[in-house]
Formats: sequence, C-alpha cells, structure tokens
Amino acid sequence: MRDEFEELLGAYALDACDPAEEAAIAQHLVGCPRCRAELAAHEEVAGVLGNLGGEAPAGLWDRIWGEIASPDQGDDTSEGEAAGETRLPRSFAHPPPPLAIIEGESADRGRAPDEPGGATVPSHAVQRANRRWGYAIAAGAVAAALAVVVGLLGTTVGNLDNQVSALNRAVVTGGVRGAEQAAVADPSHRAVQLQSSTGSWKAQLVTLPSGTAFIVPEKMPTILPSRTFQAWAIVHGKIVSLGVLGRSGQVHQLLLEPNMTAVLVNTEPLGGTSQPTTPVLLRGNLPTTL
Amino acid sequence: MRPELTTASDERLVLAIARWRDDALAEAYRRHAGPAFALAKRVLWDVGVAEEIVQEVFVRLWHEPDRFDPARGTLRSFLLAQVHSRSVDFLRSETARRNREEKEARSTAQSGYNLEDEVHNVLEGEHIREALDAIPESERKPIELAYFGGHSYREVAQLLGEPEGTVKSRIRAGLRRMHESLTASGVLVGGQL
Repeated sequence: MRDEFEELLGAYALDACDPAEEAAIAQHLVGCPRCRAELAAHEEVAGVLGNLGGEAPAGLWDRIWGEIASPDQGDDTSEGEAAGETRLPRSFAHPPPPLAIIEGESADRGRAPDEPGGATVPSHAVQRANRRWGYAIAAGAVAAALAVVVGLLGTTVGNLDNQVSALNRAVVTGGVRGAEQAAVADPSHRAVQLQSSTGSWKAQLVTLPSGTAFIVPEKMPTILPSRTFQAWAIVHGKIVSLGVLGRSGQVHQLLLEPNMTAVLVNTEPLGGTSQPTTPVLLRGNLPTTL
Repeated sequence: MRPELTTASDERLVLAIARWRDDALAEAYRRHAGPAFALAKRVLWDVGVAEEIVQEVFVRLWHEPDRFDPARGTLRSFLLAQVHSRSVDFLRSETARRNREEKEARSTAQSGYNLEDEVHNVLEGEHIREALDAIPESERKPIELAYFGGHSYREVAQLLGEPEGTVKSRIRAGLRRMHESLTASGVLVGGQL
C-alpha cells in the first residue's frame, strides 16, 4: 500500500493529484515518516521551480491592507451606544504594550508573552484598530493627534485647493451630484485630498464655507457586502462620525463639524458604528482656513 | 517599520505577524510578494485572479501565521506552495478551466511551454538549468505540465498519450533527479530521498 502512495508523492508535491488521492495521501503521511521525508524533498524542488522572481503589482498591498483592516467580524458596537455618540475605543485606556520580537520563541499567538497574563486574545481587527485610533486620539491636542496619525501611518496629505479635475471625472449620481457640481463651481470651495498611506486609494473632500462638504471617491477598494465606508472627523482630539458612505463609489454629502482638523475614512459594518473599529483607510488634514 | 524587521529572519518575522504587527506583514510582503505573484500569474494566465490569490495567501498568513513551520522550509517556499495550491484549485473550477484553455491555446500557439525559460530570472538559474538538463525530456515534460500548467497527472497522461502510472512515476523520478542535482550544486542544502 505504501508503494502506491510513494508513487504519487511527486504528483502530490506538484498539486497534481485528484482531491480523493490528496486526502488519502495526507492521511498516510501522518503515520509514515519515510514518505514525509520524500515529500519534503519534492517540495523543495517545487519551491525552487516556483521561485520565478519579479515584482508585485502596484496597489496589491493596499488591497491586502484593506482586507485585513476590514474583516467581516461583526459589529463591535454595543447596543447601549447611541448612534452618533463618540467615545474612545474600549481598549484605549489600556493599549497593548509595544510588541517585541523575542529570540527563540515560536510563532504561537496563544503563548505570546506580550499579552498580559496570557489573557484571551481579543478580536484581531479590533485590537489593531484600537491601537491605530487610540494613538491618533491619545496625543490630545489636535495638532499632536494629527502628527501621530501622519507619523505612524506614513501619510502624505495634500491640500489641493481648486484642483477640480478629478471631481469632473468622478462617478456621481442624483441630486447630490448636482449639489457637488455646484459646489465645485463655487469659487469659494476648497478641495482636500484624502488618500491611503501608499496613495493607492483616493477620494476628495470638497468643502464650502457654509460647512457643507462632499466626499468624492476617486479610487476605492472593493469591500465585503457586509461592510460600508464611514467618514470621521477629528475635533479637539476626539473622533466624531461624519456619516456612512455606503459601499459604492458615489458622492456623499456631509456636514462638517466646527473646528475639525482632519477627515478620516475607514470601513465598518453596514449601518455604521458610533466609534471606529478598524484602522484608517483614507485620511487628509484640513487647512485652518476652511 | 522598526529597523529590526528588515533584517529579521522569516521565523522572527512570522512571530511578529502572530502579534499583529502589520509592519511585519508588510516586510513579508516586500520580500515575497513579487515571486508569489509571478508564480500565480504563470499558472493562471490571468493577472486579476493572480492578484486575488496572492492577496488571499497574505491575508491568510496574517490570520493564521501558525500554519508556517520554519522546520519545513523557508517562508517563501511556504507562500509559493500556498499560491500554487490555490492557483491549481482555481484552475480546476469549470469556468476557470474554459478561460485557461482559451488562454493556453493562444499562448501555446505563440511560444509554448518551456520550463527552462520559466526559471531564467532566478539567482540560481544556472544551477536550475543544469538540474533540468539532468533529467530527460520524458520526465521534464510531465513536471512542466503539472506544475506550470496546473494539470493533474491524469490530465498530463491524456495530454502526452502516456499511461497514468508512467506519468506519476516519471514526475517522481524527475523530481528526485532534480533534487540530487540541486543539492550537489548547493542550491538545496540536502535531504534524503
């Protein structure tokens, strides 16, 4: 019987067996060190053959980042949180300690010594999100908060006053479209670029002195059907929701908060949340003259 | 990114990923995404699907870093194996099969498979070519069709008009011979067959 499996090991290493054979071989390998050793050698050769070199396409990292930043893990918001209420993420008061690589440790989340008391690991995305947003708010002062956000995320933000060419290319719909176009035609409007850390995802914020604003998506990642984009503002060091933007690339109208200094966009469960639960996807700071 | 990550071993990198260090995942991506994408693209003949599979593999590394066992090989080999396996799974879906056959037909009409051409960019290219030269065409062709074509050995047998038993034996023998050659040239560090 082992001879039959041995004959298949080469094909198995190249993913060239049928599913039923793969299952049978996998079961056989558990109790056969000789076949495991042969398979390991075949896999080494396959690894060399597959090592073709080359560059990853531009933007792929942002897609990966977008996915791990918005896993479909449900709404972390409790029912007691009123819509629109703004408060810090739950773990902000006790952010996880800095992570360090310790020589000789295994890659085992369950035994990560940096977790105090070996406590149960919290939701992956939420913990990461809390780190990100917590840092952003912890600086207290608005300027400091922005500096931390920008510093941590390597953000390049730009004020693109009156640069409206991208707006004219945007896909917009309905009455909001007309309002946005009217805003762009208004000589008093300002345009601020929102973008991801690598610049792959972009939107523009068009503002009017009245406080009316429009978010015009230019290039946004595809997100899960259970997620939505949500806009946030930093106001006096606090995060305030500006509204849910939906999943598509449509223009959305917002009402700016007084004294806001930055606009951020992330992804949240459909319907939005009262606090951010995932990291920042897009960000842009607002000039004080707005 | 902390400076130590750029020089960290794969094992330490994965340990950092296990602690939700997204900069560690970014470093793993910087090191290995290019070859991962190249392999997926080569097997799939579809840039869009290749990107999706590389994305899936790195997201899975993020969520399940403990699947990587440094005792079984390098992180690159692990990721390439994941990419190859997922690419083959995709190819074997019916819709993908039709697309693949159309694209393959066009490509084959232009250049055809050539395993030696596939490896010309890698650092060990010369040794790999030597290893390929060390095996006869009757073994090289089934390996090429299975690995880069994404065909099962049964499909390879049909394509080559050979008995299935012959094809699986030749794949195994060819891989063994290549392993010996690559070990002798120092590309592989050794191992017993």
